[in-house]
Amino acid sequence: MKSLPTGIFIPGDSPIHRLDSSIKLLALFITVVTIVLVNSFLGYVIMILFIMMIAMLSGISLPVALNATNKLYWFFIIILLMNTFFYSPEDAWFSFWVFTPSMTGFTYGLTVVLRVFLALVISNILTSTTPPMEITHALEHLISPFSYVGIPTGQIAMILSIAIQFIPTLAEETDTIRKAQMTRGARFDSKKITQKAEAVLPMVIPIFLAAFKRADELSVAMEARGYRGVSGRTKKSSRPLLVGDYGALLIVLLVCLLQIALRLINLTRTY
Amino acid sequence: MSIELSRVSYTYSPGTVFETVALQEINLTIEDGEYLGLMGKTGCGKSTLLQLMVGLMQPSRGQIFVDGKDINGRDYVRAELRRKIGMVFQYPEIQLFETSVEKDVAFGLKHSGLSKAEAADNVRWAIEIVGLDYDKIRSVSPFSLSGGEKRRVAIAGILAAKPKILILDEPIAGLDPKGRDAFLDLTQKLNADGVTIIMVSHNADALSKYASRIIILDSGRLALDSPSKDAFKDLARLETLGVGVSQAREVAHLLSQCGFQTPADIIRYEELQPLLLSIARGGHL
Repeated sequence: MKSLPTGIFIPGDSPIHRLDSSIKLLALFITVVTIVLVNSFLGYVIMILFIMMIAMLSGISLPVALNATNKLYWFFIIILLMNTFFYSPEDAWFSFWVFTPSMTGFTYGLTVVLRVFLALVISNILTSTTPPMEITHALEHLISPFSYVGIPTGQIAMILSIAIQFIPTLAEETDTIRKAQMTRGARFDSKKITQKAEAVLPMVIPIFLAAFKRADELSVAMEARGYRGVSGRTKKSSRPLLVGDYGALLIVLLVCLLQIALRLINLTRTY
Repeated sequence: MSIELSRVSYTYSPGTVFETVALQEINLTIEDGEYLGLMGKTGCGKSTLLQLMVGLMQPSRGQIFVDGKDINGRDYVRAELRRKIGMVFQYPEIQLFETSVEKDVAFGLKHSGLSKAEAADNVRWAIEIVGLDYDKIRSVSPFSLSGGEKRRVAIAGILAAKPKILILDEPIAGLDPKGRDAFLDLTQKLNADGVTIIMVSHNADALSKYASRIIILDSGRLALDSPSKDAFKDLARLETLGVGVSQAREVAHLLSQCGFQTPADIIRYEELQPLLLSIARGGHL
């Protein structure tokens, strides 16, 4: 592992780490909606400052906070070019074949890129400051109202949390199997497509078998401990919401309202 | 076929919050035909050391030479290393994937450059040496076998390439006593044929019986490196290193505490037995 994988949980004790995970998830949702609402220069400045503030509070270094967007530069460039050349044929600088480059298109492209960028960074901050299990608990909490209409939210949350919990195990197993086959003389670096496909089998079959075996063992273990899939399971550790949690939610809501206000003032603008 | 490690260090996830130093400044030479036991508590760097030796990972600092050649050098051919060194991982049976035992064992020979006849010979030899009946088992699916048989097939798949160095990571974990002895006898037989054996195990009885040299790692450093008969002398130190000793050594130690004169290099049952007999006959006090 040369560098950290994107979005991996980084233990810490910042105010952002300590926030209740359900509040955090809700706040993320509101923030992402707010990002899409923004349509003015001032609005973007406020949003960028707001997210920078959160990043600083979380104690996560800038390169780590930004690494969610590391591999997306080409995506950003293509979005920008597509918008510039196709978005607005009405006020194009010139027209050539299907291409109609315009300033409107360019600015629109820029806003799309900025929105995706900001949404990725803020999501990355959430996953970097919240353990995966906490996120599934938060999700369970937030979808719990749907249980009144007959949706088994508890079981959905259980499936999600098991899936997330097994990612490191399976990753480790995959790594061991890859290494075992390599020392046996398997080649994964072949150029030919047929050989590449052939090289996948010694990996895929053991991984699937291991996964099925684990699933089987886990279901037996769960049953043996009395799991019946009933809803209303309690958590091992839970704490009541604190003033800080409500405060954080309030701040996010205020930013959202501010942006709505800015948007209303700024209705004439097109982007 | 010697392996030489020169000031090898390894750090996981350097420069991040997950940074962990696994190995520090390891200097080690393993000669041809040795039977080396590698011990140490969980997380001391044993597995990292093994993986560096087979070239699955590159050391953060330092060099590793196999037969005098730097295996991480720019012009080193990895395939050469794969032919020389075989590695048996913990629970090797997970690597099985083919539709028949014969095909699975032959998998590693695909790129070895051996002719069909030679490869077939190797496969038969490997299946037989791990104690299975070639004609009976060759076309059986490996997944229909018992746990012990699966492990033997997996090990045959590594032996089929006839490696000159065999590295084993906890190979006897989860085997029954009979299977364990059979497997250890197999390693001894291979060693007698000139194969260098490097085995990680927590089983002090097994290593006392079979290994000629013991190496103990502690927090990524080489804590002990000596012939096996001297390795288990200092019980207090071994305790702090998290390493157990063989039952024979334990009994000899208890006897010496009771006032009997017992040499400190008794580590095998065969060495203990005459002593016990003479004590029982009333001598030795």
